[in-house]
Amino acid sequence: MSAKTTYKWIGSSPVRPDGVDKVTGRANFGADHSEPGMIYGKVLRSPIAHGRIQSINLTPALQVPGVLAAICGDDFPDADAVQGMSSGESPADMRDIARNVMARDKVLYHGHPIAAVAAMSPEIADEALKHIQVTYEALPPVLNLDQAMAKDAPLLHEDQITRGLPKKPTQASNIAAVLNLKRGDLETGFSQADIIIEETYTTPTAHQGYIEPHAVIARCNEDGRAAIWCCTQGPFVVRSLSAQVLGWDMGRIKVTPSEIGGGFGGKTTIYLEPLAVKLAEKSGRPVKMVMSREDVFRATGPTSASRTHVKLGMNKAGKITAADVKLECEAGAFKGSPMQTACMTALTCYDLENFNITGYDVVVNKPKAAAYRAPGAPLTAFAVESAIDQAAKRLGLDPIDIRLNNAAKEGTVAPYGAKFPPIGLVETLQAAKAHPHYCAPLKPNQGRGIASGFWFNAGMQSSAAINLNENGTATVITASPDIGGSRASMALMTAETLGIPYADVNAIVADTEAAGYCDVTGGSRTTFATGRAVIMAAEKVIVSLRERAAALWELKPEQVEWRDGQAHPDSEASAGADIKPLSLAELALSAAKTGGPISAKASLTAQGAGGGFGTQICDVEVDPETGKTEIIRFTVIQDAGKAIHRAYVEGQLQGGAVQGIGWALNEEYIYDEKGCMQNASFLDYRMPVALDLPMIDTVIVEVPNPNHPFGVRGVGETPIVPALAAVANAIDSAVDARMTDLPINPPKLLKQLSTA
Amino acid sequence: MARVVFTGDLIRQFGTSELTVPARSIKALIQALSQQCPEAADTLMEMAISIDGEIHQQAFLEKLSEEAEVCFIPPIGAG
Repeated sequence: MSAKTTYKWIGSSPVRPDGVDKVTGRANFGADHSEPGMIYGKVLRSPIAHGRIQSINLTPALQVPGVLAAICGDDFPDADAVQGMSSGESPADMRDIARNVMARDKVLYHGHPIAAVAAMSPEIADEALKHIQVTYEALPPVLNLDQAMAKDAPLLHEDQITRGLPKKPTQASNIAAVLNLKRGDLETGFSQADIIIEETYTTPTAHQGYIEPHAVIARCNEDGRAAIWCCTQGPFVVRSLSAQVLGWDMGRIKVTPSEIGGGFGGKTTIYLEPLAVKLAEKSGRPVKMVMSREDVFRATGPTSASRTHVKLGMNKAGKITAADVKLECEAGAFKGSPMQTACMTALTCYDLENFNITGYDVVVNKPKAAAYRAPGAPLTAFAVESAIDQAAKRLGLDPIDIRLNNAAKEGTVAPYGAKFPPIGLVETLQAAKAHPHYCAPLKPNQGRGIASGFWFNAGMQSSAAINLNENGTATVITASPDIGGSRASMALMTAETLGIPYADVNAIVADTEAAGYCDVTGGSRTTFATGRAVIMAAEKVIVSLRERAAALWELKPEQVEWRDGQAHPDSEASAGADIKPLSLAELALSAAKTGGPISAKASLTAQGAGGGFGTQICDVEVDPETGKTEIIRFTVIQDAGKAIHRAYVEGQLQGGAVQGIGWALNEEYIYDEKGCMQNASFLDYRMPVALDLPMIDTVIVEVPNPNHPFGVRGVGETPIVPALAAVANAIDSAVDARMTDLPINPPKLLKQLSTA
Repeated sequence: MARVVFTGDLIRQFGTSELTVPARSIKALIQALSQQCPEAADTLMEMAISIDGEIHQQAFLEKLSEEAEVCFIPPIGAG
């Protein structure tokens, strides 16, 4: 597959199809849907972080006037019977998902669902929750890596045996899994080093921070079928996971995705959906459930807290001779932190002969971690990119040169064993070095940091359908929720392929019964994979259009060419004949006479998503009296392969960087000693807002992915990866303070400055 | 002969980080490897696979060239 280079629509930035509805408030998000006769569901959540449930009595709640249904774990199939791994991009243990959605024998974090009610009003439902009687045997909470990995640690799961050790253990442990990646000989590598940097870096639990809380409406019909409306990154995943938790055949469930107010990985799983279905089934009424912001913080997947120990050997020329990385990663209440991807991405920017990477997936009494933008990669990138910066400083080398000295390129074997196809890390580093930002002067207490990062990008399964309308416009249908501009991208790729105006294409997101299967919108995969399905469907439409024109001209289809949105007879057929080209609109209008409506579908498992690399330049100013850090300039440089909708790509690069800046400077879950989160609101969980940030500049590098007709690589996840280290490196440059523990908030930085 | 590169737990299970296997598809490769090391069969089915550097989340029916390089890597979740 070779990418074209000149386009009419690809790479432009036309008006976004969802823009008007969103700025006028007309767009329907999860909580905006209503059904006749709808009632309201609420969840009772655990007030303790770790305990055994001794009894639950729902009867008093059911006696509250206006309450129509109440449920607890007993209303679902035995979680032990819900076996196997979920389908979709990120295999998850269904038994764990079932127990996370509704606690069974144990509660494993403060906020863990224990029961739920449905009532005529939200207020009555809240009142009813107070009447549910629960007794617990409280157990000691396990709240951090040290507590969880201690020899005599209380166990969250008495049957959890560590996977991945050389010898299978016989004792249960809070360490769910160990992964080791290695190459070469560390001892030899470190003996060749002129300097060794050795440091431990930590990152806190942080939330995706999507603006829209989780929301669902479920209706159960008399025929035993259910309909779910919800905000999700994957309606087919909601259907599959909900059916398994409920013990239903998935064919009984239809899922309609709403507009989505952010996901960033946090809406690739389920929380409320099976509860709403069960309450609807019991009450006979449609049930709406909407999380509060506090619910979102206490009970939906944040990303993991982590501790990474890095030992890096480097010679005087700035060549890394050896790297030893040990990562410990909190999974929350159930196994499955992003430890594996954190390990796999830790050293992926560099071509190394000697390394050892070991990761530990550790359960603690906190909410189960969920995917968050390039899951795991920012954790180890913060550590490794900080260590490389420290090495550059010690050796007096330029931080971009030192990265170029070691940069992975086509043919480099990644730490996880795969040899890179064409990639663009070197190009992003060169673009950073050439950017005016890199040589702009700095004032006192200002500093500049550099960091690079990598994300795999995904392919997976996608489907698309294109229907031509009789006026020559096209409707594109997929089931990939639009979280980052995919409708615009699908419309642009359709317009480019068919040769019609962008304004003539309407891209929509449909439900699980109206559209073909799509895996979740995640993994930076949708423009690449669903885009390929759209292009395939458009190419099938063109085949049909050529057949129609051939029939009208009494030619063979192979004698008809498709150019610029028109059918043309080829040079041989047109010689001496007066045949005028037929436009798509003319062929669509005459479709009834030439065989009926023109439409096409395509599905695929998309292979060969090209890896995404990026480099970022961050300038900060530190107030030495208060310890406050201000971001004064920030440039994101990233290989997009080919930007389909340029403004949307720029938006992805800016958004990823901003989330990384927030993680670096402010964001963290704060727990008390009992495991209760103390800052479960946007007032106390401090995310950056527009006033905190300068305009984030972007540079889009385009090293085409050979596996996409337009050269697309995913862009959504890579930009969060380098940002944490870029900020920390800039602070060190400004005030000579190496910060290894995030977030770098004013008290912490002030303490470091006073110590120095 | 496909050259197979293992990471993580599979190195322990197979006792080596590399093997050559006479297989012309991923399906045939997994069958051959599962016969050689039955305890690894489930793990092999769960893993993502890279073929000549291209990562595949579902590669079961992918064909392999005579000199293909195949890596079994942990599945990649994403946000």
